[in-house]
Amino acid sequence: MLELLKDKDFQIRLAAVHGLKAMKSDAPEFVPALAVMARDAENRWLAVSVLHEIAPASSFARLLETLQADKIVGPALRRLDKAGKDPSSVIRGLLRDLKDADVKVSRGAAEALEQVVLILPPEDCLTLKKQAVLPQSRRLCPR
Amino acid sequence: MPTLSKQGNAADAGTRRQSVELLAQLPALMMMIEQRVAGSPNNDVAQLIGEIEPLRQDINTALDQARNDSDLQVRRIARRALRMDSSGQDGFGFPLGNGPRFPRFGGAVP
Repeated sequence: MLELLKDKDFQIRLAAVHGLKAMKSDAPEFVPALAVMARDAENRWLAVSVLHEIAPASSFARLLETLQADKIVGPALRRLDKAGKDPSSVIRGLLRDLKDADVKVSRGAAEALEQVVLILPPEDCLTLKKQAVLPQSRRLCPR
Repeated sequence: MPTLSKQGNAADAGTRRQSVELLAQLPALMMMIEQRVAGSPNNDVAQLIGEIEPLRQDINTALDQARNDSDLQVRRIARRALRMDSSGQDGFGFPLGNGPRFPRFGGAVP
């Protein structure tokens, strides 16, 4: 199964993910491999979908670590280290940085926010509404 | 808050470039949010879909204006962002409607 997750063929990787989702709680030994899979931006959504199912308690923290090590979005997320590692705190920190006067900081926050939305556990998607992510993004648009 | 309306009209081309670079990030963020909230069984989450399209139009209007900027780089960044937004790709880079959608809550990977 580990080899199948790394297969070059997308359909094979997809089938492996299907298999793991079916195994659910019997698949905890695959969590490290899925965390590695999530390092690749192209495969991240596949790994995310399974991790939330087989390791819901730790999936966000693991995926956040992966993003923090990412070359593109890592710097913006590492800036938030003290903000907390739960979805709500991370989004709050990124929204704060999105408003930063330094456009490099706000641009990095926008890129990172996109990836944090990807790794959000389904039950935390409500955070997007609670923290007014869309209205706050609207404020960035020139009127 | 980076006042992009001011920055977008700044005399300095570098400031306008930074402003349009930030704007260019927003379509991808909108697409990702759209992917994640689509089909949510939670009404509050699903309602976010309705807020995305007007915001996308505002972003595209701002990018459209930047496409006519006097600075070549600003125009390039804006054109690239507009191309990506109208490329028919979803948030994962797959053709709209054909690529993988983020798995529904508790559902199988499509």
